[in-house]
Amino acid sequence: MWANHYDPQFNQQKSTMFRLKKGEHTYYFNLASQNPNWVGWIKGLLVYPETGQVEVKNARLVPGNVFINMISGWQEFWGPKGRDIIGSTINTIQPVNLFGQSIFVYIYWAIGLATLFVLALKRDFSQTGKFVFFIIALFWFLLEASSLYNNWLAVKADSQYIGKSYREKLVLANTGDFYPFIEFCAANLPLSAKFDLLIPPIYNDIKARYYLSPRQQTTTEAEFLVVYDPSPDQKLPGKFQLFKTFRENAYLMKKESNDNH
Amino acid sequence: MIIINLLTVILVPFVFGRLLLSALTGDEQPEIGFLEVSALSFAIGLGGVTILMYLLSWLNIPLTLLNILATLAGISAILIIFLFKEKSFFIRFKKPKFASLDWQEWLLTGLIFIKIVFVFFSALVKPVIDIDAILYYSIVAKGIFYGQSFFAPYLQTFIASKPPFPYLAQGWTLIGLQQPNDCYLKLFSAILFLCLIIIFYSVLRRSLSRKPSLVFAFFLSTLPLLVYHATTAYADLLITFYFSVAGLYSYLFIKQGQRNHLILALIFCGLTVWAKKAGFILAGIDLFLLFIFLPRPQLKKTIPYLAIFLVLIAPILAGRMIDTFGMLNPTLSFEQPQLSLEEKTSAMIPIVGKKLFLYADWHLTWLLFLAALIFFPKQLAKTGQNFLLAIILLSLLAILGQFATAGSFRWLLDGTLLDRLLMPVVPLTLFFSGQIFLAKLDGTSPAKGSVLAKSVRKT
Repeated sequence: MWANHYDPQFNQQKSTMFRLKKGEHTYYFNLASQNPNWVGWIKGLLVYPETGQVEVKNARLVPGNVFINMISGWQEFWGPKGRDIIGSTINTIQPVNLFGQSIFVYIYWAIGLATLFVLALKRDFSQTGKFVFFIIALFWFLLEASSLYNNWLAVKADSQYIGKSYREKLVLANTGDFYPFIEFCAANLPLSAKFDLLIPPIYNDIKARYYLSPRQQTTTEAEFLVVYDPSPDQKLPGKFQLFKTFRENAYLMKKESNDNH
Repeated sequence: MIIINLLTVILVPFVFGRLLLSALTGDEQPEIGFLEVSALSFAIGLGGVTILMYLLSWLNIPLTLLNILATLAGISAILIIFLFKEKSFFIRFKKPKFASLDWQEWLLTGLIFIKIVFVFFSALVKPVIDIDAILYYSIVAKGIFYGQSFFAPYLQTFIASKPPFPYLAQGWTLIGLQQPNDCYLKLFSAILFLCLIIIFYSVLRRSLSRKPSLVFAFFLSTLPLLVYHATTAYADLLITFYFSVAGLYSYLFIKQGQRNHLILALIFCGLTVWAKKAGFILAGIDLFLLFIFLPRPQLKKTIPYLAIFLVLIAPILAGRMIDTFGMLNPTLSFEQPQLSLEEKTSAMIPIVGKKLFLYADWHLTWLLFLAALIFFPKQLAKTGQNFLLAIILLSLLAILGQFATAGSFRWLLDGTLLDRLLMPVVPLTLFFSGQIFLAKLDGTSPAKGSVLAKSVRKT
């Protein structure tokens, strides 16, 4: 990630992703070709590993050359963008990028130029059509080879679930101690209970509603309040009192009975 | 125990579908192969089980395994008696020919197999993690499992006016398993993905030789967004499957005029309506074009068969589950930018172009489609091809029209909805491209039918 004088914040818009290999390695980035937001005065650089720690021993800003561009492109092509499922989306599959462009741009150029060449050579529309099919099929196979690599990455990521019990899988599928907390809630809330949530959006609140079903979530008739690491802007409603504690910032509250008023 | 329960979940729809298929189509399937019958049986049976669950719930009968199995057994007994009386208990299969494959066919078959293994592994190894699947579908499936009803008031907040197929199919999985283990909620997505490849290949095979048919079945098996949805518990694969199969058998009926193809087309059109809101429009397009492209003399004979479609969708219509035109109602939309249709269209074109051609959702499907249109325009007017082209274009128009006129415009702008909505049209687009290109390369004309199809008709 980088900050520039237009936007001094580090954010995803001004970033590029790459895979880290174990051990000491040299990585090359032609950032101008990978992200159009590499503009203005660069005020800072941030290397932010998704997991674990990295040590940057040496970093240099140098004018680009063919060698650096090629290595940077290679690194970008095999990088996470277009290969890893980032988050959980059902909406789209990102393309693999090369020099900041979708790989399809290069494929269309290749197919288009080859088609024009064959058309000029044979001067037969039908014969050229057959050629077009073969060249599209060829690129389809290459794209699929790339997709199979993505599938392999997905299998590697999912292999953590192999041989695990259903409970262990649920623990793995959630972050931190969220699923054990859900189990704690399930043990303390009757199946017919109605509850409300004080959980920061947008994933864990939805998952809590799902995991605690058939208990019903309601904002108006809740007898219990499920609290899990609330954000500072989420205020505790006054009508509930502490019921059971899982840990600090993760607990169950129960609606105060009328006798307490 | 879980293995037995899983077998129950899979075999019950399969056997029920097999009986329904035999009863509805009779002994008139000289072209059909064992795998195709199996894929059709499972898909029809799954539809049958969900419709039955819907009706049971509507009658306030608790959705327990015993109630569902008892009702299915009762209906199956009637079907078996009917089939024995009609002497059409078994559909005669085309005898499988195990001619040896060459290395290219082995490669294609192997690649398809790898993808299917990947889909089943990815679908079944982990719990439901897609937040949309949890939010919209799996929570209802769990509610059906615990509450033994589809119409429980709490569930209606999640169901809204969406058709019941995905909820009930997932609910059936949990009821059949007798436990709320959501790793298996994606089982049907994976099986339907396999069924789609089988049916797609089988229909292609009627007019093309084995290798080209395998090439296009391979293409279908590789579509990244389709593959991804085959591993989730969402509804888009469901509508894609039923609409595509409806389109394929409509195409066969237009080409060959066999009664069974019409019946299958109507059944799958009906189930398309059960799958997702857009199914009503897509099935409507299919049926409208079926009757437009049908030779006039056949039209009169065909109309009575519409009853199959109407009977299938009657429970949904009666239950007022569908608010299809709600999608087109701007009052339901979120806050919309006030843009004219012209402004919206000019904003849409670059986004649609980018989504169709520059994203990895569909590999090179849309380029192949364009190339087919450009290089072989004479093929487009031929019987069957014209129907396919019309269904693709009208469906695209309906999908894009929805963005131009309705509240979904913001979902187009943020790039989240278009890819999924296009999915039902993609297998037919690929099939159409295959027919056009491979007819030329394979030396057969789809309009006249291949040597294989002709010889079958002669028998």
